[in-house]
Amino acid sequence: MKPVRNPLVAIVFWMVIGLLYLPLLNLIMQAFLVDPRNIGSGFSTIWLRKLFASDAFWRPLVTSIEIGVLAATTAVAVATFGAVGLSRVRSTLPPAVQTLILLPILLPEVITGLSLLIFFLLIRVELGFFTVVLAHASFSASFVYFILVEQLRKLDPQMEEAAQDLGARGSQIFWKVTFPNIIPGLMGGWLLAFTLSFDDFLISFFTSGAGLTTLPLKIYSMMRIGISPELNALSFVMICISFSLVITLLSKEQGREWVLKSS
Amino acid sequence: MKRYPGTAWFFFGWLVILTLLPFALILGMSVMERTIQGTIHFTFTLENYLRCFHWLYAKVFGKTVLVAATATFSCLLIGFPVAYHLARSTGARRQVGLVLLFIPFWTNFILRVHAMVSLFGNHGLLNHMLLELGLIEEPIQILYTRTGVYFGLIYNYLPFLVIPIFSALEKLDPSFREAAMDLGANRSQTFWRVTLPNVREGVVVGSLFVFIPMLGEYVIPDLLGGAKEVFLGNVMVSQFFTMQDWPFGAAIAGLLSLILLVALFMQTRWQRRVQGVLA
Amino acid sequence: MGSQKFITLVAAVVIAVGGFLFVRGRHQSDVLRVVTWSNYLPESSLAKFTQETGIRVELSYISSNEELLAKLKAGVTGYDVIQPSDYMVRQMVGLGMLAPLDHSLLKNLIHIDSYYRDLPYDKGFKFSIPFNWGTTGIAINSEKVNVGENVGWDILFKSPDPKHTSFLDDMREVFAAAFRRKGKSVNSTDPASLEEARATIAQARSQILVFTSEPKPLLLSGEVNIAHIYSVDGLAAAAENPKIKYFIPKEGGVVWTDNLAIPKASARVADAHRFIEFFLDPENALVVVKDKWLASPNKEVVARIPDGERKNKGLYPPDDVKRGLTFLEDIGETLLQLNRLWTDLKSS
Repeated sequence: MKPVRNPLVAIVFWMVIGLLYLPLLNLIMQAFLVDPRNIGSGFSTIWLRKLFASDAFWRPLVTSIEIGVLAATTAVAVATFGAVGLSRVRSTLPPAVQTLILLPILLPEVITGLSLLIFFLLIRVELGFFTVVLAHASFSASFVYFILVEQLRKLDPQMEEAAQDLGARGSQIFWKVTFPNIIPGLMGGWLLAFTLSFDDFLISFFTSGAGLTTLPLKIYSMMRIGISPELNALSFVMICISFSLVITLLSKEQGREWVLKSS
Repeated sequence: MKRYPGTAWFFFGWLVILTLLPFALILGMSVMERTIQGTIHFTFTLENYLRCFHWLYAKVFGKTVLVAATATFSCLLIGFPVAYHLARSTGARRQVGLVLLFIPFWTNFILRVHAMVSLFGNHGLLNHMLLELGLIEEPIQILYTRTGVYFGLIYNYLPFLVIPIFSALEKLDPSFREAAMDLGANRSQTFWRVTLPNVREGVVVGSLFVFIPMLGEYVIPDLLGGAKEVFLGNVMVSQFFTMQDWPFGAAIAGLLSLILLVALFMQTRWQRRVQGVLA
Repeated sequence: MGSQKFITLVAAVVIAVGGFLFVRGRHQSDVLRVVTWSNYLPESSLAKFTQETGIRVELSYISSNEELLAKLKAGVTGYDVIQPSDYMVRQMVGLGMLAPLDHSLLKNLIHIDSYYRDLPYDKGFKFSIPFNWGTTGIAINSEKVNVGENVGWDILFKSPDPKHTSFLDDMREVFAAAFRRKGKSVNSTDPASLEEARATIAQARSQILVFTSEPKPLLLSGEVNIAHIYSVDGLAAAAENPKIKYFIPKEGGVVWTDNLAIPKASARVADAHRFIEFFLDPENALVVVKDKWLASPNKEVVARIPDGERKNKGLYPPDDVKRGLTFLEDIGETLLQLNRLWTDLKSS
C-alpha cells in the first residue's frame, strides 16, 4: 500500500499502544510500592523479596513449568505426526478434516474447558496434573501443526523427490531430508506451546480440580482473597516471564508470523 | 482411507479423542433429560433447546448480543486505524508496531483482568491521577459497571480484530487505489469506494471471530462487571455448577457452537477471496 | 535412521512422558483418601492421626460443594471421607450417595452439643456429623456508615450507602435475606413471597455496587462499607480492622454447617470412621477451628477456646439469636423458578 498521510491514524495507533500498556505498567509500579494503595509511599523491593521467600510462589511456578514442558513436548510430537503425514497429501484437505484440526482453536475456551471437564469426569480420571497436561497439549497441538505445515510447505519438494529417486525409503527421507529442515519449526512450536500452556487460565480452571495450582490459578485465587501486595509482586514476575517468552519467540526466524497467527 | 498415511491417522485420533469426543459428549448431553435431583437420563428430548428460547433466556441472549456487538463495533472503530497504520508503514517500523501491539496479549488473561481491576479501583492509578489533577471530587466508578465490562472486552479482544483487517489491507493491490486516483477520485472517495469494499470480508470475518467468543465470556462480566449482569456464558457455567443442570448448560453450549459453525461456514465461502485471514 | 528406529524413538518418548504422568498422578491404594477444602485440615493434625492409627491420609481438594457432587455423580470412586455442607448432605442423602454412620465406632460423638443432634437435613447423625458451623449476616464499616443498634436486613436492601454495598453472589442467600426482611421463612416457596422478594432485590440491584462471594477484600480496601457476608469472612475482616463489625440482622438469618461424611462407594469405611472419631476429639477439633473464625459444634472445644472468641456474638450467637437462625433446605422444583427469577434479576 502507498501511504496515505493522515496523521490522525498514527496518533490513534500510538494512543492505543499506550492504553494497552497502561494497566500493565500500573501493575509493575504497584509491585514496587511500599503501600500499593498509596503512590506516595515510596518504592521498595520488600514484596518481591517476600514473594521469593514464600512457598506459595515456588510451588505453583514449578507446577506451571512441569505442565508446560510436558504439554509442549506432547503437542509437538503429536503435531509432527500430523504435519508430516498430511504434508504428503497433495490435494487440499476436505472441509471436515480442516474443521477437525481447527476445532481446538475455534471453540470458545469456556466450551473447550467444560467439555474436557465432563469428558474427564465421565471416563473417571482424577482431575489434576494429568488432565491439565492433556488439555493443554490438546489445544496447543493444532497451533503447532499449522507452524509445521507452513515450514514443510516452504520445503522444496524437489529435495524429497531427489532423495526418492536416489532410492531412499520414506523414513530415510524423513530423517535425512525433512527433519533437519523443520528443526526451527519444531523449536518454535515447542516454545509457542509452552507459552500457551504457561499463560492458560480458563482451561486449567476447569480441568485442574482443586488440588493443583498453576501460576495463573494462583493469581485468580489471590484476586478472590484480596488485592494483596504479594499479588502485585506475583503479577510483576508473571509479566516478566511472559514478556521474555514472547521476545524469545519473536527473536526466532518467522517468529513474528507465528505469534500473530496464533493470537 | 489409503489417502492419508498412518502418522496422519495418529493425529486425527488425537483430535477425535481429546477435542471431538468431549465436544460430542456435550452435544449428546444437551438432548438428554435431567431429573430434579440432577441426575441425567438417557432419554432423547429437545426440551433443553426449547428452554433456551424461553423469553427469559432470549432476553439474556439479546442483552449479551447487544453488549458483545457494541464491544465488537468499538473494537472495529479502534482497530481499523490501528491496522491501517500498520499496513501503510513498512519494514522495521511495521515490525516494531506489530510487536508492540501483541506483547501485552501474551501475558495471561487473568493477569490482564487483574491489571484492569487495579487500574480502575477506588485506589487505582486512574482515580488517583484524576483526583490529584482536581478533575473529579470523588473516585469515579468504572469497576463493577457495564463500562468496566466494555473496557475489559475491548482490551482483551482488540488484536484479534486488528490482524484480519491488517492482512486484508496488506494484500490490497495498490494499483487499484492508484487507478482510482488517476481517474480523479479524491482521497476520501478512494478510501470509501476502493479500499473499504476490498477489505470488507476481512472486517466481517474478524468481527465474527471476536464477537462469538465474547458471547461465551464469563470471567469479564463477573470480575469487572461485579456479577450484576449475566452473559450467556455465565448462565451456561452456572447451569453446570450451581444448578447441576448439565443438559440445559450443554444446550446453551450447543447453541453457541451452532452460531460458530454458521460463521465458519460463511468464512469458508469467502476463503478464496480472503485467503489466509484466519490461519 | 530406519523406520524401526523412528518408531522406537517415538515409543520411548511416549513411554517416558506417560510414565512420568503415571507416577505423578498415581494414587496409592493403601491410603485413606480425604476430600477437603483448601487450608482446612492442618498438616500437623494429619501427621498426628497417622502416628496414632498407622493410617496414611491423602488429601484431595475441592473448591465447591457442587464440584464434589459433580465428581460423585460422574462416578469418581475412591474417596473415603468427604466434607459436604448442610444442603449438600441433604442432596447426597437423596441421591443415596452416603454410607450410614456406625455410632458404635464414634465414641466422641458425646462431645457434640445436643443442639446439633437433630438438624433438619440429617436427623440423629445418620449420615453426617457437623464439623464446624457459621452464619450469614452483614458486616459494616462503622467508620464510614453510622447505624444504630438492632439493625435488620433493611440496611442491605435500603442501604444508606448503596454505592458501597455488596451482596453475596449466591441466589439462595440473597433470596433468604429478602425473605427474612419480611419475616418469611428463608425456604419460602409460595408465589406471593417469591414475588415480594424478587421486587425487593430488583429495587436494590440497580443501586448496589457488586455481587460477590468474596466481599472481605473489598471491605478491607474500603471499596465496600456494607457487605452481605458469611460469618467466617466477616469476623476475619473485623479482626483485621476493628472498625468493621459483623452481626446477624434482627430478623435472623441463615445458619450453615460443614460436615464429615463417608461416600457409599468407600472401601475403607472402618478407617473412615476412625478419621471422623479422631476429629471429634476435642483437642483435634480445636486445632481445626482455631484462628479460622469458624464456630465448633463440639461442647468441649467451646469450653477450651479463648474467652474473647466464645463471647463474640458474631461467632457464637446467644441463644435467643440462635433461635432465629434457619438452614437453607431443599425447595424442590421451586429452585428452578428461583433460578429463573435470579437470572431475570441479573439481566434486567
